[in-house]
Parts: sequence; structure tokens; C-alpha cells
Amino acid sequence: MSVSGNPMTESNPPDEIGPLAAALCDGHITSTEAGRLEELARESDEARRFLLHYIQLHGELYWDTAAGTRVELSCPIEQVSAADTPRRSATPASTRSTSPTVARRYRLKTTAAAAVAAALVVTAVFVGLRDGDRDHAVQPAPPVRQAVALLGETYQAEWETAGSERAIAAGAKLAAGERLELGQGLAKIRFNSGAGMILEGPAVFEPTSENGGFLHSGNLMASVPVGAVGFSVVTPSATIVDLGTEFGVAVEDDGTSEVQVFVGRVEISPGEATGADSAGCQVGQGETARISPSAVTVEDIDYPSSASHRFVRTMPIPGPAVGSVAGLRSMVAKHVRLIHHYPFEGTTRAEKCQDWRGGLHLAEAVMHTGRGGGRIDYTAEGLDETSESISPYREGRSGNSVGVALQSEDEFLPPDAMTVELLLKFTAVAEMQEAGFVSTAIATRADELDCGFLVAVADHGNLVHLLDGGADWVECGTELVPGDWYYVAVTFRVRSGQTVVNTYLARLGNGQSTLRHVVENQKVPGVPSVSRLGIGKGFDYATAHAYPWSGSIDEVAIYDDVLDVETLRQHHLALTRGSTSR
Amino acid sequence: MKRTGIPTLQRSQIPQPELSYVPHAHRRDENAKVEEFTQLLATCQRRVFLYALGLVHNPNDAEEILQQTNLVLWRKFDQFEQGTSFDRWACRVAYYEVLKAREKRGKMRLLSGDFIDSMANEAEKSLDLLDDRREALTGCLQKLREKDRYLVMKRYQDQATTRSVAESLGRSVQGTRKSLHRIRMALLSCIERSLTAKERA
Repeated sequence: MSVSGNPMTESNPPDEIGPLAAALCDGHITSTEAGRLEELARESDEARRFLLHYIQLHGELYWDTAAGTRVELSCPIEQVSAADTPRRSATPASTRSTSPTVARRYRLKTTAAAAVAAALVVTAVFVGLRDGDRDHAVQPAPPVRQAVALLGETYQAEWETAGSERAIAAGAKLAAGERLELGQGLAKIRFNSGAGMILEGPAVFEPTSENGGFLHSGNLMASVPVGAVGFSVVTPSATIVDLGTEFGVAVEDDGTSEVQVFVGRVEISPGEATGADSAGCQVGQGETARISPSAVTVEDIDYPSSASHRFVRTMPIPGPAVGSVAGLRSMVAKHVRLIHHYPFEGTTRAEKCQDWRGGLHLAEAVMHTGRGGGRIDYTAEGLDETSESISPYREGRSGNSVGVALQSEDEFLPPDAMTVELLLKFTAVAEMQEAGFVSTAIATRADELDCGFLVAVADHGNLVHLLDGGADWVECGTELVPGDWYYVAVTFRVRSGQTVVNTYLARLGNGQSTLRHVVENQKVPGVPSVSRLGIGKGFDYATAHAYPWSGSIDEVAIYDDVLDVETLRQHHLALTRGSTSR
Repeated sequence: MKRTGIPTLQRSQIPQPELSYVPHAHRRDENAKVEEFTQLLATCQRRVFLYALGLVHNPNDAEEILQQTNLVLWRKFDQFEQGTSFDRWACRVAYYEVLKAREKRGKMRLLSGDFIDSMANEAEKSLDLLDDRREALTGCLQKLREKDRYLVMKRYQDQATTRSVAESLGRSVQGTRKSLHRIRMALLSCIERSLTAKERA
């Protein structure tokens, strides 16, 4: 809202009287200034009216604005109307009684209660307390506390709200101005507008309205649906307004703010305190902005190797269920080097195609030869009851080029040190006996030679990799048993145009499960290529969709690091019933 | 000023018939009187507060005036003429409470007595528009930028001052004052436009 127009007539500009009125209201006016204010106000009815309206505005804000910040107090003697809600203050924690049987002390800032109390005393005198006639005792309406947001699930959250009696727990309503100090862990907050965010401790945050809040310090990750466009995050150095996005905000100790945009765009305005000359800017997907007291800079995210803040985009599943897919999922979600995570969980197709960590969401990809009359099964059985998987469609006869699978909406940038981890089940098809049969779980491809068949099956169900279209497949020496689930982890380390590959494999679901190191430090030609990420599909020489997976895929996780074998063993242990051996 | 909670009325301020001789009819009348008074009192609080604030310009002082006014209103409720405006009657009582307070406290005498009289006239004339202005303010607050709304909220939180807000936000006091003034001026302009638009509608 711009300051336009003049609340006074043109003959009485508020240039001088305005600031004096402000000084009067804020209590720092000098006697000389008060004299000048009176002089100006006497000059005309308009000036006097302006002064009165300014003071009354001050009063209205004083009377009403903090209503949403008040802690609910029970007051047995107050009667309030909807328009005249008295204002009360919570007593300092040190004066509060901890006994539930002791009435709370409270400090009244308005005296409606005082007068009504006087009336009740009168009532008692005239009506006769000894007769127990309390029929006309005034019952209070409870104070109105406007909730602007709701605290959702939390993960290992520890709140630093010492002295507060208010319980901070999932489901708690949050009022405007309610200061949330998250010492550690994660907390999900859902605003009335529909916008949601994950606050990552240590952080201090205040929701300020139904569609925004103030981040004093720490990190948050905001996800804003279309209906909540305009969601705002204010920091000590900037205001970030969402234009339809997913974005992360981090506030450092010196007040510098960093904004990373994963989807869509945001509008950033430097705060007045920054003194920055910049008028603000729009920041788009894949870009990072840093707002310091001296400047606003926008740069492309050097993702995923950026040293900037990482934002938790989904809540980990609490309390890992040991020996289940959920247990693996929980452990994976906590890993700091995780950059993409596809658990294929959710209630809608869109949810199941979400990247829970990196924003590299998936979309359906139909082979250029067509669907073949089939479709992806988004609710295929997982390894156990804690998970659902996806089953791409592969036609039975010309499956290499007919089918439906998934592909990322944007380019995937494979890091030089990478681990790809997933669960897969291979389903036998007749053509697997034929030469040239390829069934792909995870792949990229830039051109005929620059490819990244990261996890695939060829020939009779042999697990293979390929990073150079002119080279031989890297064979793991294992034929997958059709119909059985496998845990697969492949690490890639790029060195001088070649890649060192390690593959770990464990057959699941048959009681004892052993994690085997099936490819050891094998140096292969080529490097994983940059392109859209195919899940459940690969690409032909012309980078067309091809080679759909035959079977099911679940819990795809990609890391920007070569995970050590101990970590992978832990993941495997989280998945199995603990009966593994090395 | 320290708030002491629920003030206890001096018993001498209240006529006290012997309870055992209070006939039932009289008891019912008193019940009705109390109920009527409390209803009227509750609905006038904001108006009387704003009226008093126009004269004493300090919210804490205005609340004290309101407290004293409420007590006087009860004492003199029998003098209130049914069918007249309770709000205006309450404001007249508040006016005299302001005069009494000005005599006792020098800091309330920043502005001269006859100027206070002219402000009192202006404030009484504005009583009928308070609800419309309040409604307009509600809409105008929603139009504020998020950070401006936040600043307003911080400023008017319990016991906050411009200085305390500036310190909590790491900003200069002068800059914060300017920002608050800018926001108030924007709200005033918005309120005027809203009222004008409503008149034309």
C-alpha cells in the first residue's frame, strides 16, 4: 500500500504536524515541540481533526493490534462485547503459579473488569450472597485469540520457551506474534493461507499473519501453493515475497539472509536496516540471493555442490521402524549428503512423483513408440507394508521402445562423487532372453556416447552399468532373481574423464540378507552424463525415451558423496530384520 | 502506573440497605440495573478510551481515566437518562476525570487547557464515526506490507516502546520512528479513502 493522498486538506500539509503528532504519541515530544503542535492544530479545524485522528489511530492500534498475541487467561468476572475486547497481559513467568488449583494472577490493562467487578460487588450486596443468588453473575466471554497458523508434525524438536506455560506440540495453534524458538530438530508449520514451511532448529521464528512471518535466525523451507501466492518471510535484512514457489531462507548471525529458490520465483526487497541501494529483485528457480547489510547479490545455485545452506524439504519419518522400508526411508532422509529422494509415497500421483529433498520432481514419459496400452502402476506393492512402489509399464514384445516411465522435469546434474541407492524388483519378460534387451532403473543420457545407465539390467537379468555408449557394460556378475526385491547401492567417483564404480547388492525378503560388494573399484570409461533423470527408463542413442524397467522400483536416493560401506550396511540393516552378516 | 488488579470499592460509596429487609421486587430491580449497567459499560469502553486518549494522548493515562470514569459512571448511574446516549454521557464524565487528572499531574499539562477543550469538542463530534473508522482500519491493516504489519504488531505489543522495538530488530530508534510514522500516515490515508468510497457507494 503506498502512501498517497493526504489525510488533511491541501491547505494544511501534514509535513510538520505529522511528525509532531508521532512524537506526542510515542512519548518523546519536548515541551517546545508540544507548543508548536498546539499552534499548528489551532490554525484550522482540519489540522485539529488530523491530530485527533492520528491520536485515535494510535489508540485503535493499541487497543486492538495485540489481541492476537495475548495468552488466553480466564477471568471470572469480565464481560466483554465483540467490539470491546479488553486487553490483558500475561504475567511474567516468575509470578505464575504452577498449581492448577491456584487462580492465575493477571494484570489488567483495561478496567471493564474493574467496573464490572464493582457491579458484581454491588450485586452481592443487594442480591444477597448468603442466599447464593448468583443467577445474575456476569459470565465472561473468553478472550479471542486469533490463530494464524498451526504447528504440524515435529521431528526431534526441542523448544526453547523457558518460562512459558504454553505447550508447544503438534496441533498447537499459533497466534500472530507468537515467538517460536526451536533449539533443534524440525517443525512443520501450516499457515491458514495454505502455505507451509519447515523450520529447522536452531531457529527463531514468529508467524505474523495468515500468510507470513518473521525469521529472526536459522533456516526455513517454504512451500507455497497457488492459493497462497504472496506468502512473505521477513528477515532482519530482507523481505521475501513468494510468487508461487518453493524456497529456502537462512538467516545468519549477522543478519545476512540467503534465499535459495527451488521452484518458481520470489521477490526480494532489502530491509531498511540494510541501507542497500538495491531496490530489490526477483530470484528464480535455481538461483540464490544473499542480502547483507551492504548489498544484494543474486547468483546461480552451484547445485548440488553448493556450499550454501541446505534446506530440509520434507519431514523425516519419526521413530524408524527397524527392519522395514520405513526404517530405511527415515535413515536416508536424515543423511546430510542426500540430494534427491524418491520414496514414491503419497496419496496422489503428483505426490508420488515428488523429490522429497531436491525439488527435481518427476513426470511421466511415454516411449516414442507409444504406451502400448499400458500405464504406470503408482500403487504397486513395496517390499513390506510400510511402502508402496511404482511399476513402470513395459510392453511385453517390443519393450525396449514401448512403455511408460518417469523422468525428471529438469536436468539432473550428477556430482563428481555420487551414490545411487534404491530398491528394485525385476520381473521376467520373454524378450529378456534376446540380445539387446535392456531394462533400466536409473539413467541419464546426453548423446549417443555420453550416457549414464546408472542402474540397469541387460540380457538375462544381469545387473549392469554403462557410462560410455561406445564401451562395454559393467557387469555385476549377478542375475537378479525375478520377483525378488533387492537393495542396490552404486557409488561413482569421477577421475580424469573416467569413473570408479562400486556396487553393493543384497537380496531381500528371504530371511537372511547379505550385503555383497559385487563391483569393486572398477574404473570405467565415461562419466555420468547431465540430462533429465530417467527413473524406470533409459534413453536410446538419440536420447529418446527407451528401455523401460520391467518390475518395480522404490526408495530411490541420490547423494553427492561416495557413501562408505559402513553407511550402506547401516541402511541395509535398517531395512532388514537385523539378520545380516558381512 | 502499577496495576493492582481488581479495585475494591469503598463500601461507603454504595448505599447499603439491610439485606434482610430487601423485598424480592427490589432485588429484581437491582439485578436488572446491574445487568443493564454492565451491558452499557462493556460496549462503551473503546469509545471512552479513544475519547480520553484524544485529550491525554498517552494510552496508559487514558486507561487510568477510563478506570476512574467507570467507577463514577456506576456511582451516578441513577442520573443517566434512559433513551439518551450512554457513550456521550460516559465521555462527559471522562472529560471531567481528565481535568482532575491534569490538576494532579504536571506531565499531562503539555498542551494547554483551552486546547484540550477544543480537542474534547472535536473528539465528541467524532464519536459517531469511530465504528466506521475502525472498520476501515481493519481493511487497511490487511493491505499493509507484511513487514509493516509486523512492525505495527511489535510496537503495540504489551509494554513495547519504539525504542524497545528498534532494539529488538537491530534498527536505529530514529529509523524505526520514521517507519512507524510512515505506516500511520499510510493507514490514515487509506482510512480516508475507504470512508470516501463508502460515502459514494
